[in-house]
Amino acid sequence: MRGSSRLPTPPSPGFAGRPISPGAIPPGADVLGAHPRLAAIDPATDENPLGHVLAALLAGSGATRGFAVDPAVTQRRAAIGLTPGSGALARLDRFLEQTGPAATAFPEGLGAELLAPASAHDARVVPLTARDETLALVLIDRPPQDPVGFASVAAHAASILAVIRMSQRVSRADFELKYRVWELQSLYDVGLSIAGTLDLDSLAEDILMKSISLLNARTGTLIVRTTGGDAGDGVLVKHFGPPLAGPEVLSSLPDHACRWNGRAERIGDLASAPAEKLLLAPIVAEGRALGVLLMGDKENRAGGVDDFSPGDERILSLFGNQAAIALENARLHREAVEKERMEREIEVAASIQKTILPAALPRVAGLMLAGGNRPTRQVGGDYFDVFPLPDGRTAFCVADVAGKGVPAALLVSTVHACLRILLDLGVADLPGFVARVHRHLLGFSSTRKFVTLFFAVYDPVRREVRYVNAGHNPGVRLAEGEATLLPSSGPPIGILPECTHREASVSLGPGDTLVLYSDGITEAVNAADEEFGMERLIDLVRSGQDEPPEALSGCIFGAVSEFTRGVAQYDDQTVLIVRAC
Amino acid sequence: MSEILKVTVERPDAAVAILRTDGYINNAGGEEIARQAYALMGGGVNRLLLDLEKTKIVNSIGISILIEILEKLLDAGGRLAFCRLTPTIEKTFQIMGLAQYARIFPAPDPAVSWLRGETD
Repeated sequence: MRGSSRLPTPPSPGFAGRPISPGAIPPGADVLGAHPRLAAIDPATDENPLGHVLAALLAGSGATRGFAVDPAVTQRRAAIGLTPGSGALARLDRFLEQTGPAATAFPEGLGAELLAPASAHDARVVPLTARDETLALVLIDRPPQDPVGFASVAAHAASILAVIRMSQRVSRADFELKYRVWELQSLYDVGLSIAGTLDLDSLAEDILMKSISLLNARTGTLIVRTTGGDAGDGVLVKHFGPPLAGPEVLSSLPDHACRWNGRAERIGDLASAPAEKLLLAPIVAEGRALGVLLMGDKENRAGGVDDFSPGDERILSLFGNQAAIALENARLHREAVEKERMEREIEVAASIQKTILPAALPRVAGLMLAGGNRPTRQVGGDYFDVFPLPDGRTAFCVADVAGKGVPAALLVSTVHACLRILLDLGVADLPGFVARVHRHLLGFSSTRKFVTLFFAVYDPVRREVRYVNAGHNPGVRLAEGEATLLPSSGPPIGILPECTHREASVSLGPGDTLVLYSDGITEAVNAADEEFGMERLIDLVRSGQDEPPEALSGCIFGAVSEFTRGVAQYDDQTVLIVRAC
Repeated sequence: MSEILKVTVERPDAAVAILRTDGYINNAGGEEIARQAYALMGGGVNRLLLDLEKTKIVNSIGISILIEILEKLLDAGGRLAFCRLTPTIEKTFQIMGLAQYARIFPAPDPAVSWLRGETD
């Protein structure tokens, strides 16, 4: 692994050089011997060649003791023939910390301290520079014996160090480039995950881990409000390391990313977050703050903590955006699933209702019958039917069950079955009959199960209609041009443990008409939110008294449509017309 | 998974060592791996397998330390293998260049065979 095949090198503080034995340095100046020492340095592998450089400079100068340091990476240093005291090294560190890589000489007295206990009387400082950059500060304990030859050795050493510096920079740049590719790949992978899953829990984990990883953070926390997906509704919290915040932080989120490289500026509960430095990115969708991504303490190679940078803020904001997209996807998915579920339910309910409502009304001697039902999009629970009885009478009803969809359709089915069975047992006492239906419905398991019911029996001999109206809209009887309402005599059935209803009766002579209907007719609304109402219905019945029942039924439905003009209605519309002849 | 890395060392034979990690390969985690690896190399063991089954997260500093370990191993004529990486970490190693000089295996056994020179 040499030359160009060498692995990319990340930013590194390097390693402290070790003293080299003075026995390695030949006595007297050896300019010609110094150059091969420098030529033996491999720029590709020697990250800290200061020991070899110092040895070559001592050989080329005739000095026997020396010290060298890289002012840009102060841990890189070498000493030959001496061991500087800790006080001198500490002073050197302070000096280089102040001057940085620009230092070209040691301050007053420091050279003597570094060389002590050797004499510093003739000490010389040799800065090795290239392109105005100090690559090393070299201290030798005496002046070079051959200044011209030594200058060539120093120039050679500087060129070697420059090549090494360049090699390290290229290597770092390569590492940085790969790091950017990694960064982009991570964002791309999160994007793919978002497209491929609705598992918010694992997505949140993925986003948190990738954020921590790319930002070199020590800890991290992700908190989001969930409104869909497998995680359901609520707050999803993920931590890596000690929690940086709890769900309460959602109540006071900034609307933009924030870097807090000190504790003083932090807001709210974040002031006590267990991290020296903090980076925050809100997770925002459609202007609403859904959550937050928090990173704690960006570590460096030396074991310390660096400030979070604007670039870090940008990366975390991108991950925050990804999280927002994931949450939005989950919400849209939930809505789509709910819509699909409702449509399936409507189809099932409509199918049930269609099988229960009479496809055609029976032909009954002495009566003209017409009826129809117009379900709304949500499918409600209207029901009507006509039952010729064995004794020549005819029973008929209109009912409206509570609720919508499949539960309502099932309740209609129950009412239908119940009426059929009980009618087979005979219907002499109408309140008793309705009470039996009521008791049956009380056992029905649905929670919202009440039913309004207009139940009537027509006796062709007596030309009379007996009826029980249990919480239903009043029937309309039209006789000789006069409209009479047949009101309710008690509550809907199936709701109260005990309820009783009174029977009433009206005559229905030849030409008289009885119109039963559901509240979907009288409570149909138009764009102005006005109801169709009883008056319009009675007017229609009155004006259509000479029309066949089928035509009157069509007229009522037509008038309601004309009134509502396409405004969506939320109740089924049902009409049953009974006319004696 | 903890943010503090633990390393356990297993020696299937005298020439090969398996370092099993559990936790975050960051600066501290990487240094712990390096400490164990250099101790093994100092004892003449330069064929190392890093089993990352219980590591789900690695950062760039951890990667840089792994690169340093790999360089030292290769300079010493040794080999480095990884096994049981998460897909994310495997992709990261490929992007960052580690996979060019170290081999990645799905399981420990084929990795140990490769380290012993039994397979290509």
